[in-house]
Amino acid sequence: MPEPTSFAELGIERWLANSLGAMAIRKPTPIQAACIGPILEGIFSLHFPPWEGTTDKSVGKDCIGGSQTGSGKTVAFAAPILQMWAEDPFGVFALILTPTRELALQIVEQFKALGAPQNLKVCLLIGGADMNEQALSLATRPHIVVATPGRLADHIRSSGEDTICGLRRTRVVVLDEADRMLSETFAEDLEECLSVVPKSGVYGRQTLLFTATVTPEVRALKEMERTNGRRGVFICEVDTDRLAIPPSLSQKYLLLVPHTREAYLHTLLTTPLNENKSVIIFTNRTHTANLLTHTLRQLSHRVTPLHSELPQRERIDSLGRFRAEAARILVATDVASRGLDIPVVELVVNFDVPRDPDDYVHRVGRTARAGRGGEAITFITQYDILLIEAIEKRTGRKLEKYIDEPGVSLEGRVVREMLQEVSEKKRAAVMAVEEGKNEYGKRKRKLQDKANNLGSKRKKDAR
Amino acid sequence: MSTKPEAEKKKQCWLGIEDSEEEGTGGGSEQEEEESRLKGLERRSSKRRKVDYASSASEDDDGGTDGDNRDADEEGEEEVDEEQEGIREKGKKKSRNTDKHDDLLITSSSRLKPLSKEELAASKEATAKTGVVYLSRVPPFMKPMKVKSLLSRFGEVGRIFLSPEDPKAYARRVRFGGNKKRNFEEGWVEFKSKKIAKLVAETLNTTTIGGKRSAPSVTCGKKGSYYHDDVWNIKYLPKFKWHHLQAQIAYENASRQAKLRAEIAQATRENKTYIRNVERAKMVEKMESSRKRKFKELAEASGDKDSKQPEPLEIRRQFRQRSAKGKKAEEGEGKESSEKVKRLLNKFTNCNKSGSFAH
Repeated sequence: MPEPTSFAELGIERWLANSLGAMAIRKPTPIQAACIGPILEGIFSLHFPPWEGTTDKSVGKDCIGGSQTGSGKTVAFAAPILQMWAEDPFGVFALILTPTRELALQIVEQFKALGAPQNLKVCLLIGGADMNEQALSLATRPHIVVATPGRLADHIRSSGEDTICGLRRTRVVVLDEADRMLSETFAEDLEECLSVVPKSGVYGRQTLLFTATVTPEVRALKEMERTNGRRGVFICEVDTDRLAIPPSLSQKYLLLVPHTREAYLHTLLTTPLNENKSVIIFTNRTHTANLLTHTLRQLSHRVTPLHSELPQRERIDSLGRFRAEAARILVATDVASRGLDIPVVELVVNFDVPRDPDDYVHRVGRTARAGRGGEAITFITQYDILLIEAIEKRTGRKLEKYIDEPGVSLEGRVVREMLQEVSEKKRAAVMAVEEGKNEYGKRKRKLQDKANNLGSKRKKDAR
Repeated sequence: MSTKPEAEKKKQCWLGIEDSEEEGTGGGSEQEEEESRLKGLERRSSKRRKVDYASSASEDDDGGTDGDNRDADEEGEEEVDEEQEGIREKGKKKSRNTDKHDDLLITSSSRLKPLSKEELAASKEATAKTGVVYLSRVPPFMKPMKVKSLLSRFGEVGRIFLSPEDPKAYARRVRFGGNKKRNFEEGWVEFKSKKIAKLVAETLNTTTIGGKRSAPSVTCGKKGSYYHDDVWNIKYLPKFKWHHLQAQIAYENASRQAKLRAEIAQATRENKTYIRNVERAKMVEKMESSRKRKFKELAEASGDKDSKQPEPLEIRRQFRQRSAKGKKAEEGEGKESSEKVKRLLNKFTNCNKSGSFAH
């Protein structure tokens, strides 16, 4: 099959191609070229009701799509869904499930942008926001529902049949970051979510799975035996195993002693080449992220945190600040490692080495998106050699040793000036964290914190 | 430290441990007392700056006070300055020779010169004369300036502190359409003279505030005081000075700084060790490379390639490695996906064989 050069060739209608063009998406990427056609086949079944002797071949296929980070997977499912929806626009046409709230928000925005000419109604169901508002908006049967599994399961359990009845005739279900969604963390909630949508099959729902890292669970789905009533499954893996990392990304490492990492990080962020880059720094724990935010702020960097211990409002604000480049540095945990598309990011720093090689793939995938260049620097300590070996095995590429920029000796700078200053600020930051101050040096309101804790506890109990 | 002059050594000393018992300076030596006074000044001036900001904000518009300013301090506060502070402010900027540590510790406050002996004596005397009364309840929405103007009829009023209501309560009131003014719960007022303080407490307690009647009278047509019928609740606090109110904060600040200093000293030691090790590593590397070069030269000179190569550095220490987690790693160890996941996968394959569209 020759490479299609435009969306029209893939069977995308003009209005949709135009709104894609408005987002500067003109040429389909390999994953889009491969997936859109098979997903769209279902359109015919709408014109000719399937009960009049349709075969498996004339309905849209279930799809498992895998391709490297930043290759346009979101559009690969958004475009066909919108086209099918435009043929038959009814309430809750599609349900999209994502592992993180920020990713859900991003997908909602993309859908809104694409569906604007057709009055698309999108509903966002995520944790950390008001449940009543969400229930009301869900009850109006929006066309597309984007949700995180925990909150959707909560609605199914507690919001009543009137609210969720729209979901019972959902045509398409998408699992974005399918490998994460099919892990143990989400299994229970996801089961609950799938219990309300129609069963899969020719007459039921169409299931689409997308991920950058294909795991055995995802593969297991395609190996399940095809029974008569099932849709054909289409699998498209664009070199996920060997090429999970975009070729335009350069991966470096620095071998360090754990307690000097902050000093090296500070020095690294202030070198002439990195001075103005947008940077994401990944840590393994929320506590580390919090502490690092305090320390870097004391060192007068424009830094903003993103991790699960923040209230949802702050998480969204924080990400917004970073997107708008009001903050140059985002200190995040793995909450931000998947799916987030922030084109300006030029450098990813792994402050801790991730335990799971797949997480590494997703983390460094925040840069070098859509064919751009990017750099990833991983801080390795003496305890992380096995982890690095696992990562190199997973990605099939060796990390290179970090080489100093011309005219800057990183180690020299650290030893000469930065080490003392940074360690002082770090100790001060530790004390500030212990005293419960936020990163601007103000004490948090005790009552507010208590209320928040109480709220989250209640939610946990409810779950 | 031992090389430093005696005076400076002393200064370092009080910054650390001695200021934690700042309150007990009554019978201390002259030097000590002078310094504690000075410390109090520094702290107060830094605090006043903050407070001034807050109170000026509340002065121009009672409703729109920025809540964040208050949050800076746990209770939030409202203080009125007066002439007595003026005396202290005469103390000029200190030109102290400080090393880096002091620099770091005293960052927010301006450096002040110690008071001269006469000034100190004067201010001590003035402090001894003052008396503090306690208001167990502040009439609704009465601001510090109003309290001051009501009480200064009886004698010179010093500082005033009224503790504002809980921000939650304020937010609740505003949300339900209540008064947007700031309310105060309790307060302390300092009088320049103990006698007057006692007198005020004895005579005003449980009496109405008075003044002009609040109902606009038909005859004169003037508006009266809003607080006419409200009742004073005043108690004289015997043997109580203004600084007792700040004792807790002062203690906390001092202990915090001492702790920070200890932490930084520890960090400095660690850094020194690290730098020493870096230097040593460089040295070892150089020795290694020159040894290799020598061997090479030797081998070339003798022309025989079989001469033994230098052995690689023996491994001196092993670190326990963190093991990788995740699907791939566990798969290698023969782990199966868990029950839950399996059930979920089954759910996916369950299909609707007989079904029809839900239309």
